[in-house]
Amino acid sequence: MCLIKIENVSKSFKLYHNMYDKVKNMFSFNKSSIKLHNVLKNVSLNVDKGETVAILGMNGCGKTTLLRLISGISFPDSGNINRNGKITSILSLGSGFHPDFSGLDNIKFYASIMGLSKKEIKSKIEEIVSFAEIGDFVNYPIKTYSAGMKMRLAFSTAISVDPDILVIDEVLAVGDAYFKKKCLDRFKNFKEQGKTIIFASHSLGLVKQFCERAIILNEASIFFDGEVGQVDDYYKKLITKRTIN
Amino acid sequence: MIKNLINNKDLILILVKRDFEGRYKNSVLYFVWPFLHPFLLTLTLWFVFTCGFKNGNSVNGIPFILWLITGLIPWYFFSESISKGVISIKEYAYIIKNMPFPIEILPVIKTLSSLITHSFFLLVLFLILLFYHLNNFIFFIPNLIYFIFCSMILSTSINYFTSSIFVIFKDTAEILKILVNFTFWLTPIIWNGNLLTGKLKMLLYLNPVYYIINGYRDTLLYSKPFWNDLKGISSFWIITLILIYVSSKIFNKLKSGFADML
Repeated sequence: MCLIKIENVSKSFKLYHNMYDKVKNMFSFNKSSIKLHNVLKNVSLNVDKGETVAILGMNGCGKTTLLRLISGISFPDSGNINRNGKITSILSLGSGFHPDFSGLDNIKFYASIMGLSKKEIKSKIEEIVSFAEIGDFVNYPIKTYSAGMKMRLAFSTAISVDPDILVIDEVLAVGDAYFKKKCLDRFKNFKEQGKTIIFASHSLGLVKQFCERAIILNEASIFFDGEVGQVDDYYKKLITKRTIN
Repeated sequence: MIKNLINNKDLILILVKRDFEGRYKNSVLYFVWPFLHPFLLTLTLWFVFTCGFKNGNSVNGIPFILWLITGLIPWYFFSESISKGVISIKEYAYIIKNMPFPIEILPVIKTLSSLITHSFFLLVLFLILLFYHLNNFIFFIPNLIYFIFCSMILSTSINYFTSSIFVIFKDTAEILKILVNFTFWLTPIIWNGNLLTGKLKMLLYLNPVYYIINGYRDTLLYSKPFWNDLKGISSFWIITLILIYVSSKIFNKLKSGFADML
C-alpha cells in the first residue's frame, strides 16, 4: 500500500537582498528580476507501507525541504503530495520547549501539538519520562537541564506519539552511545510493527544498518533511488562528480 | 476556520494558559504585573482630570471616577489583545517551522489570554459598582457579555490581519503601536462623546471601538439594552464583517507560506 505519493513536486525560494528588494518586487510587473533558488525540481517518489527509507545527499541538496514537504509543514510550488496515515516528524529536537516551564508542562504542550488528546497524554507521561531517564528533573524548568537531557526528553516525547509514518531529520547525531542505541532499538521496534520510517542522514553506516531503501538527492533532483546495498558506489560517484566540477 | 478552532479546543486552552503564565514567568510578582500598569494609568488619568483640568464632574448623574473606569476597562482589554496579537504567529515560529500546526488558532490566543486579565478587572468594577449602590448592572450581565463578544470578534479579526502581515513586514508592529495610541485619544474613552455635534458625531459610528466602549457604559451605568441602538449595531457589524472578510482572505492567502517566511 502506498502511504506517500509524491508527483512532480517542485519547490523554490525567492532570494532577496533586503526588505526594499522584496517590496519593490511585490509591486513590479517584471517578476523575472528576482533570483529563484530551486531546491527541488520535478521530484517524484512513492513510499510504501513498512518501508524504511533513508534520504542522503550533500549539504543543501534539499533533504530537509523534502522532509518538510512530506510532513505538511511547507507546501510545494507545483506537483502533488498524497499522504495516507498519521505522520509524526522530528525535524529538530527541543525547539518547542519553553525554558521557563517544567519538563512536565513542556511534555504536555509538545504532545498536544502533535495531536494527542489530554487523556492520551496522561497515559503516556510515565513512559516518556522513564524513556528519557531524567528522573526528578521533570518537575524543574527546562533551563536547568543539560543539553543531553533536553534532547532525550524531546526525543522520547516525539516518539511517544503512535504514528503510521515517522519522519526524522538528522537528529540522532546528538546523544551518547547508550541513548543512541536505545533510540535505534525503538526504531527497530517501530519497523517490526510494520511502520514506515523516512529519515535523512549523513551516516552511511547507520543507513546501511537499518534501511532497505536509500534515496540520494543531488542538484534538486533524485540522483539515486534503490537498494541500500548499492548506496556506497553511488555516493562515491557523487563525490567524484562534485570534486571534478 | 471555525470548525478548526473547535477541533483544536484542547490545544487552544493549553496555549492560552501557557501564554498567560509565560509572560511573567520569570518575575517574582508575576501575578501583579498584568494589573499594575492599567491600575496606575487609571489613577493618573483620574488625577489629571479631577485635579488638573478641574473637570471631574459627574456625567449624567454618574460619579466621574466610575464613568472613567467603565470606559478604560474595555479599552485595556481591546488594546492588550491587539498590541500583543500582532506577534502571535511570529512568536510560534519555532513550532510552525518544525511541526504541522493549525496556524489559524494562533491569532485567537492573545484575545483569550487578555480575557483573563479583563475578567479580573470586571470583577473589581462590579465591586465598585456595588459600593456605589448601582446594583442594576446584575440584570444586564447578558448585555455585557454581548459587548465582550463584540470586542473579542473585533480584536481577533484585527489580529488575523496584523499577525499575518507582520510575518512579512516587521514595520507592522510599529505602525500598530502608533495607531493604538491615536485610537486611544481620538475615541471618546476619557472624554465624553456626547459633546461632539453634527458631522463629527456621525463619524463616531465609523469607529467600532467607540461602539464597544459606549456599550459597556450604557450597560453598566445607564442600564440600556444593546438592541435599542440599531444604528450602532448595524454600523459596528458592517465594519466588523468587512474586516473579518479582508483579514481571513489575507490570512488564507499567506498561510501556506508562513513556514517558509518565518
